[in-house]
Amino acid sequence: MTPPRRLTERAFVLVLAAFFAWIPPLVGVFSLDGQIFGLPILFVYFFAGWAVLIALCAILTRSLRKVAQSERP
Amino acid sequence: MLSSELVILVSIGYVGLLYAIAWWGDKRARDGRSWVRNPTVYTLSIAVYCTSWTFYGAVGTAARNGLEYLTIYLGPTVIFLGWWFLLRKMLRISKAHRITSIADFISSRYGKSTQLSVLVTLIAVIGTTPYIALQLKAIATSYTVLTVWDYGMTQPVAETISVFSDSGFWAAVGLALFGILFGTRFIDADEHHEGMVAAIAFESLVKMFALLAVGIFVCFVMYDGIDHLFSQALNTPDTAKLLQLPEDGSARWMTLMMLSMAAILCLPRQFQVIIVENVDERHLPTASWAFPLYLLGMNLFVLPIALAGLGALPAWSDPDFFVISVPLFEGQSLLALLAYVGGLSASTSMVIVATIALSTMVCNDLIVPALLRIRPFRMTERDDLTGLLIFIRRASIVVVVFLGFAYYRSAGASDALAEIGLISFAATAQFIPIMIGGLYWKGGTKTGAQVGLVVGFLIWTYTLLLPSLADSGWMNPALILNGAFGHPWLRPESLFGLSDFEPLTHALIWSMSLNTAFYVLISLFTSPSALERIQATLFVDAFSRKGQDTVIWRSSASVDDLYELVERFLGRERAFHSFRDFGWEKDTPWRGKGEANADMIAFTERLLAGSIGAASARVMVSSVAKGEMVSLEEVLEILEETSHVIEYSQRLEQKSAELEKAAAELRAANDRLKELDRLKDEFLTMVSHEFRTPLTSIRSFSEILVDTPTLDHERAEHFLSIIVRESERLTRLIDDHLDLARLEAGHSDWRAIDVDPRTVLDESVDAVKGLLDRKGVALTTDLAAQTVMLHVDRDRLTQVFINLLSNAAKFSDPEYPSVSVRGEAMDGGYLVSITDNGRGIAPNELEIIFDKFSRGGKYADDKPKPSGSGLGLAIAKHVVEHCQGKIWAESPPGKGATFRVFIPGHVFAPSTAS
Repeated sequence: MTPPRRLTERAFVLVLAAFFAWIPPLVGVFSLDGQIFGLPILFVYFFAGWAVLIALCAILTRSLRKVAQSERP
Repeated sequence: MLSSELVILVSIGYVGLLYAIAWWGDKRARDGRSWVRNPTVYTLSIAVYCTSWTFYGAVGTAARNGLEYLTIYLGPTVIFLGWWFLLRKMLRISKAHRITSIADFISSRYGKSTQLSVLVTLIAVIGTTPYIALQLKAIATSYTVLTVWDYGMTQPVAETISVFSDSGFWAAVGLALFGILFGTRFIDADEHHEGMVAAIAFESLVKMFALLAVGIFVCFVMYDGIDHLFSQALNTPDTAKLLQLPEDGSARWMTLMMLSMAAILCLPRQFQVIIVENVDERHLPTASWAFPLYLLGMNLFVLPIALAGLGALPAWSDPDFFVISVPLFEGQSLLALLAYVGGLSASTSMVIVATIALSTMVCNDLIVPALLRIRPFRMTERDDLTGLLIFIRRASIVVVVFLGFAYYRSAGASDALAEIGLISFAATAQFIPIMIGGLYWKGGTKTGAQVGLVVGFLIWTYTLLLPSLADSGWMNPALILNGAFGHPWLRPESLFGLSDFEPLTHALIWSMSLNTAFYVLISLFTSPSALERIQATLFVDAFSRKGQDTVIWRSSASVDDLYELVERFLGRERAFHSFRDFGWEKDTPWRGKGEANADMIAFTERLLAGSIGAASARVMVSSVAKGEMVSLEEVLEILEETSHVIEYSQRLEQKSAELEKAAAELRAANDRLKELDRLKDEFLTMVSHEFRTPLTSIRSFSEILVDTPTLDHERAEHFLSIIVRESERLTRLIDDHLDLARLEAGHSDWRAIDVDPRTVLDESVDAVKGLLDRKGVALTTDLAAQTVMLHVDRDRLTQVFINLLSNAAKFSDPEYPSVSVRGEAMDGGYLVSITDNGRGIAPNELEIIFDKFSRGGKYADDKPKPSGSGLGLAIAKHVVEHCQGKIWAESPPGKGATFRVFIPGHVFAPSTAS
C-alpha cells in the first residue's frame, strides 16, 4: 500500500490541478476558434477535463479509502 | 400548451409520490432495514445542490453569458475532489460533537457561543429567503409557461394574479406540509431524516432524467447530432460568442468559482445533507467522485438547449424556461410536462431540505436559547419538551417557507433566477473565513468571529441586498446612485471608489476581505476563554485526538435527574434506549438516585446537543447538575496549582538528594577522621616502639658497663660500639623523622637546579656500591643514551634513589641477590625503575608501603627487618611529589618488586641553559 503521506500529496495535487485548470488565465487560453469532432474547443476542454479529473479522483479514492479505514479507531 | 387541470393533477400526483417515498423511507429506517444508508443515496441527496436554478437558470445563464454557468458546478467539484482535506475533517468533527446545523458547527468551534449561533442563524435565514423565493418563482413561472404558452404565440403573456390563484402559493403550502411531516416527525438525537433523504434522492434522479431527456431530444431530434447544433450556432455571431469566454470576464469568473466553492460548504441545506444527514463516514469517498459526475451529467446538455432555444424561439421568450418552452414550441407537450416535473423536483427538494435545515437552526439556535433566558417561561423546569420542540420546528418551517413566498411576491419576481441565487450565495459565503479559519487555525477567537461575520454581513447588505431591493422598487434608488449622505465614496456599488468591477464581484471583494481582516486582527488582539481554547484544539486537531469529552463536570446530579432531562427533550423511548445502551457499554447504572459520574453527564450533554444544539444543551445540563459544572478557568487553575505542587515537590526531592549526598560525604569524612585517629595512635605506638628498641639496647649495654667494672677491655669495646651504633640509629631515626615532618609541613629547603638524572643515578649507585658488594648483590645498570634535564633538588633526588637501591638490596633474594636499575626518557620526563628479585610485595600492600612505618610490608610470613627507620619510602614519596613526579610500586607475583619513579622534565633544554 502506498504510504498515506504520498497519497495525501497526490490528492492535494489533484485539487490544485482542478482549481487552476478552471480559473483564468488557463481557461482563457482554451477560448479559441475551431472545433474538435465538430465541438467547440472550450466546450471539449471543460467536459473532457472534468471527466478525466473525476476518473483520477475515483482511482485515488480507492486507495485513500483504505487509509481512512485503517486509521479509524 | 397543456391544460392547467392536467398540470395540477400531475403536480399533486408527483408530490403525493414524494410523500409516499418519504413515508416508506421512514418506515424502513424504523424497522432497521434502512434503504437510505448507502453511498448512492448519499450522493443523490447531495445533488439537492442542483435546484431549479440549475434546472432552468443554468440554461438561462448559458443563453446570456455562455459557459459562465459552469463555474457554479466546477467550484463544488473542486471541493469534492479535495474531500480528503476539508469535508472529511468537517464530517469527523461533526460526528464527534453531534453537530446539528452549520450554526451549531460554528458556535461549537468558538466555545459553544450562543451569540454566534444566533448570528449565523439570522444570516442563514436572511440569505436563504431569496433562494427559496427563487424556487417558488420557478415553480410558478414554469406552471405559467406550460399552461399558457403555445407554438403560435407572438408575445409573452403577462398577467397579475392574486395570491391564492398563484401556483407559487400552493407550492409553498405543499412544501411546508412536507417539511412538517417528514422533517419534524420526531425529535431525534442525531437529526437523521431518512424519509426526507429518500425523497430528495429520488428527486435527484427525476430531475437528471428530465434534463437528459430534453437534452437528447434537442440534440438528436431537433438537430442531427450535437455537432450539427454547434455548427448552426457558430453561423450566428450572437450565439457564436457564447462558445468563447467573454472579454474582461476573468474577475467575474473567479468570483463565481469562489462563491460556488463556498456555497457547497456553507449553504445550510448542503451542510444538512453532506454533514448532518451522513450516516457513515465511508460514504464520503464514493460521493467525492460520484457527485462531480452527477454535476457533469446535469450540465452536459445545458449549453445545447440554450443554443437551440436561442436559434428556434422568438426573441422575447425567457431563456430561463427554455427547458420547457423548447419542447413546447416543438409540439412535444409530454416532454415539456416531463421537464416541468423535473423542474418541480429540483425546486421542491431544495425547499424541503432548506426549510428543515433552517427550522433546526431557528429552533435550536434562536428560539430555545431565547426561551432559556426568559425566566418566567421556566423552560428548565418543564416536563415534556418534545412536543414544544416539535411545535417550534413546525412553526419555523412555515415561517421560513412563507418568508420566501413573501420575498417572491414582492421583490424577487423581476430578477433572473441566477442573480437571486448569487445574492444568497454571497450571504452564506460570509461563513467561510470563520469556518476555514476555525478548522485550521487555533488562534481564531469568538470575538474575532463575531465581528468578522457582522462586518461581512453588513457589507453584503449594503452592497448587494440594498441595490437588489432598490431594483424592485422597495426603496429610493437615489441611495444606490449617489451613496449614503450623497457621498460618492459610499455608493453601494462602488464602495470607497472601487468601481472597476461588476456589483457581485465588488460586493464580494469588500465583504470577504473586510470579514477576513476583522476576524484575523481581532482574534490576534483578544484572548479566548478556556472553553474556546479547548474547542479550538478539538476542532483543529480532530484527527490526532481520541477523547471527545470536552467539558469536565463536577458530579452532583443523580442519574435519574439526567434521565428525566433527556426524556423531556427526546421522549420516553429514545431516552430509554440511549441510556440503556450507554449503561451497558460503560457498565454503569443508568437509572436510580445514585450520583452520575462525569462521563454520564458529558454523555447527556452530547445527547441533548444532538437535538437542541451545543449551546442550549450546556445550559440545560447545568440547570440539572446543581453544583454546576466546574468552570474551565477553575479547571485550569487546579491544573496550574497541581503543576506548582509538582514543581515544588520536585525541588524538595532535589534538595533531599543534595542533603543525602552531603550526609554521605560527612560520613565518609568522619570515617576518614576515625581512620586518621587510629593511624595517629598507631603512629605514636610505632614511634615509641622504634625509639624504644635502640634506647633499650643502649641502656642495657650501658648498665652492663656500669655494673661490671671487671669487664675485659675487648668486650667493653664491643658493647660501646653497639651503643654508638644504636645511638647513630636513634639519631638517624630522629633525623629522618624531623626531615619527614619538615617535608610534610613544607618547611624544608629546596635548592632546585637543572640536573641530568643519569649523573644522579650514577652517584647513587656509587654511594650504595659498598653495601651491594658486601651483600654480594649483582647489579645491572641500563641507562638509555637519551635523557631529559630535570629541575630538582639534586641531594634530595640522590636520597630517594639511594633509599630505593638499599631497599632493593635489602629485599632481594637472599641466595642470589640481584638488582637492576633502568633509566629512560619518556613522555617529557624521566622514568627510573629499580627492580629486585625478592619475594615481591603483597598486592594489598602496594599502596600502603609508602605510609610511615609501614615497613617491609611484604608477605605475611616475612620476618620483619627492623634495620631501617620505616620512613624511607614516605620521604621518597614526598620528595618525588614535590618534583611533580610520581612514585609507585609494581609487583607481579614471583617476579620481585619494581619501584618506579617518574619525574617530568622541564622545558628549558640542558645545552642552552648555560
